[in-house]
Amino acid sequence: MSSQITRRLKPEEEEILRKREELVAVRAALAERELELAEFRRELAAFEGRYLRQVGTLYAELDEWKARIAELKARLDPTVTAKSQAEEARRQAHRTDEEAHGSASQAPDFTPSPDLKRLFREAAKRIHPDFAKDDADLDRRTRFMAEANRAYEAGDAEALQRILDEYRDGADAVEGEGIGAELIRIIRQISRAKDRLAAIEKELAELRQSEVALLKKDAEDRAQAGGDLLAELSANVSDKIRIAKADYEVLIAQAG
Amino acid sequence: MHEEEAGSRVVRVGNANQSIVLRATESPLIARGRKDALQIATQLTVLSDRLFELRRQAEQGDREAQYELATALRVGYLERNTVEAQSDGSLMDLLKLVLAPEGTDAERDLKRKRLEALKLRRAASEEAGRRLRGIKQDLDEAVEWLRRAAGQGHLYALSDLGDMYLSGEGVEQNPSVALRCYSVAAADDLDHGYWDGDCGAHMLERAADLGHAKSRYLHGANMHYLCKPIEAHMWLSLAIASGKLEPADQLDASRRLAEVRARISTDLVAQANSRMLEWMRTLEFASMK
Repeated sequence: MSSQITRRLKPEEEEILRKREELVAVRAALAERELELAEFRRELAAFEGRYLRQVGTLYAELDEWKARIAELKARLDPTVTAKSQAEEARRQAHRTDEEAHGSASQAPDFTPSPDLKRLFREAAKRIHPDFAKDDADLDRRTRFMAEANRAYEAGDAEALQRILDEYRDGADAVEGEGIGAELIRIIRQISRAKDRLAAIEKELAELRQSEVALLKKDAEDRAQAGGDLLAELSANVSDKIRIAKADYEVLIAQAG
Repeated sequence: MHEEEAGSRVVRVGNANQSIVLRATESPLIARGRKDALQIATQLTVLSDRLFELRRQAEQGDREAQYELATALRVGYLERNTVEAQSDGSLMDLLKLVLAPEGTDAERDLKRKRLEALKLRRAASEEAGRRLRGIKQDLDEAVEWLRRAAGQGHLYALSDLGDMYLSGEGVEQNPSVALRCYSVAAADDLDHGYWDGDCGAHMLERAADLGHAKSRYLHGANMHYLCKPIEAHMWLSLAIASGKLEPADQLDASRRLAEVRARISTDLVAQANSRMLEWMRTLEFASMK
């Protein structure tokens, strides 16, 4: 064992060592939970995208037929009620169409690579806004973290790497601060990280109760039983479309 | 200071997250899918319960259950769904309207179009029923259950078995076995339930061909209804001549025959008579062979 000049640590120094360790642990835990949240959000967005492309577009078609039927009915029997129903049906068709073909339907569907997960964990650890030293730093971290989230959701590992590199290049050095100031900073960082952990739990719980998560769960249950819920749903809506089309034909025949 | 910071940060960082939460819970499209998914799940549960019960009854020897199970296995679905039942009702009404000779050409054309549309609709819901109820078609098992039900004297089962032998559906095609099935069913007075669609009408015609008096009467009545006076005249005459009709049917058959006769010219009556004689000759010829 090499001889070392040791000096007894002052109590505040011991405290700061303990707090630094705690901060490291909290950072790791927070990064893990952030990854979990990002991954769950990505899964939900991917499922929603798949759902919108497979079923949502059919609902849009169905609403389009319903709107046409309502409009034709209003033409055959031009009462005030019929007209307002036709207008409402048209608005609904427009809304459904927008939703079915909107940005949510474009969500990419992929399985994240271990590399992507590693990069995100790294980013969460390093640039998480909870470990900001001051307001300017907070702004910068927030911006980078939002970009990291976006890159993860898009499955873009390269972008994530770039964000990390850029962040590393930036000023992350600790300026000369007294031990008391550092202790206060670390304590605040830990406390904020704990708040954020609680917020993540809350958000995960909320997400799990969202319609899309429940539907995703139904789809998983159905897959376990050997079914395909999205296929069944689209078949179901396709049938409704065919029935609506038949109704429309009848009306067209009546309209002459 | 810390609280404020945390609060504003959550909003800033959480922007993307929260928009997803909001979109997910507020999306009417997702909500609709979820509602439909629940409906599908319920239907599947109801179905599997029903199927389970049906199988149990069939295995215990209940011939009605055997027949129902066989039918389900044959077509791949169990019950007609309500949409279909509703459109079926209006389909029959429309059929009557289209076939009734009243009205202008344009009106009949319109009715025909509506009928087409309704047929489309029925086909759609039938398909839906098949998928949602999710019973896989299994002809081998269907034949098995039909045999068991027929063996217990279930006449529909027997005549369905005849259909399957006639078309070679799930069994090796064998018209003579089919004919035997039909004859046994007809001889045992299978005379109801024919009039439920094209297939029923064909079966009725076959039974009439085989000499079943009530089938002849019903087939004649259908022809009368379908405004085919020559056929109506022939089948109603044959049914009345058999002397095997029940009094009420006999009365109705005579009434219809009189109506047909009043409507058609003497020329047509002669034509109808010669058609009947021709048919009887082919029948005699066939039996001689």
